[in-house]
Amino acid sequence: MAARNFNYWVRTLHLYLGLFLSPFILIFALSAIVIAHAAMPWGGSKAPVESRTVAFQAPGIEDNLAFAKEVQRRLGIAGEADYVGRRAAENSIVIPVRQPGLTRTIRIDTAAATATIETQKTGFWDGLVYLHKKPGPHNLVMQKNSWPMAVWAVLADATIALLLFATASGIYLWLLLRSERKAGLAFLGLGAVSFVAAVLAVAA
Amino acid sequence: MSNDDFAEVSNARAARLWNRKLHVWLGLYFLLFIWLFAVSGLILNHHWEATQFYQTEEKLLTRHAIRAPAGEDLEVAKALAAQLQLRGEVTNAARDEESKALRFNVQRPGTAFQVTANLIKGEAEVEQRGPGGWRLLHTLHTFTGVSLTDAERQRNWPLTMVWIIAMDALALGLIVMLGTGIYLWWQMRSKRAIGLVALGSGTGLCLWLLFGLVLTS
Repeated sequence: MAARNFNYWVRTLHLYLGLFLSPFILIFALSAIVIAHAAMPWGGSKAPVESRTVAFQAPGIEDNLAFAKEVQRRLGIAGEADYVGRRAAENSIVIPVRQPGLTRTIRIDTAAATATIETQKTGFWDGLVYLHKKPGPHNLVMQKNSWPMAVWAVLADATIALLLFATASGIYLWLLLRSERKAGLAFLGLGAVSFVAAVLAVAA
Repeated sequence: MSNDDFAEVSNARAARLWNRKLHVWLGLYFLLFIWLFAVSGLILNHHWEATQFYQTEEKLLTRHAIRAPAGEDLEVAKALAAQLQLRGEVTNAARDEESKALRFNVQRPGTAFQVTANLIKGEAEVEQRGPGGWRLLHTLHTFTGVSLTDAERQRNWPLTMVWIIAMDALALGLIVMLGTGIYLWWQMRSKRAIGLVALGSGTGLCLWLLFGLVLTS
């Protein structure tokens, strides 16, 4: 009885968590193909750029993250600030602000006291790639500085955790299917051989 | 039941059976690939001290005599990599403004070489990083040989395609597994309502992130 109960819950969780996870897996799978071939079907950096310039006095804040958030607040630009590029010799400060499918680059001219905002609608595929790579290993200090990206970071972790659960529960459910054991073992073995061969081919 | 009814039931059973087989077989075939990309994804998104290899890994420095061929920087770099028996993608070939030395990188998962070649003196200095386990995990996740931000960069190591095929196969395999999983779920009438809530909430979150943020900004 207890075993049946356990099997029921494993099957139920595998099903419902798998369904919840499906669109996230789809994001990672589709974007992986785009990244692996560096082939954006449309949009990306080729998308047209619209530009506007406004009068702007740069805030006197040294901390880059606080500076970027203050600039965004004053200009009314939501999104994740990628980095703050300060070039004192050129009186220039650049802050790319990103959302999935939309990039707005703020270029502050400290001498002229202006800010030019370049808006580029990079589109659906670029949005997928952006989510795939976030939060990522770069510029740790600036990461998750907008709440949607903080939410995404949690969802990305949850996707991995649920994916690991789905594989573990999948193995358990497969072992319950006596009729699939031999064929399953063959595919598991074939997969392991392919994996080792592929890794050795590129890493050895 | 008429013969047509029997045939319909039989077809439906066969579709369910083959969807289940495909779902199980693909899951088992790609198991190690899924674990690799899941674990390396976690490592890339978090910065756990134990997995930070870059600052602590050993560097091996060696010097070699070279025969410098003529040609474009990248072509010269590829020829030198072959001379030095360095296997991997040759990238970032550029001349140093002051010394006129040719610098380039040779990378494959787990190992990276930074080469500084003095073409006039006919000598090259090779700095090797790796092989290392964390570096291997890290670079297997990101090893493509191309870049979305550098359109000119082309793959130049034939074995990179082996890994690209593995990545593509995994991505397509996962998409087929999603399709078969959704088909199998839909066949279970009693699970449709809660399943719709689960699938709908995941889809809603993704759509909000992909379209909602831009539309409301």
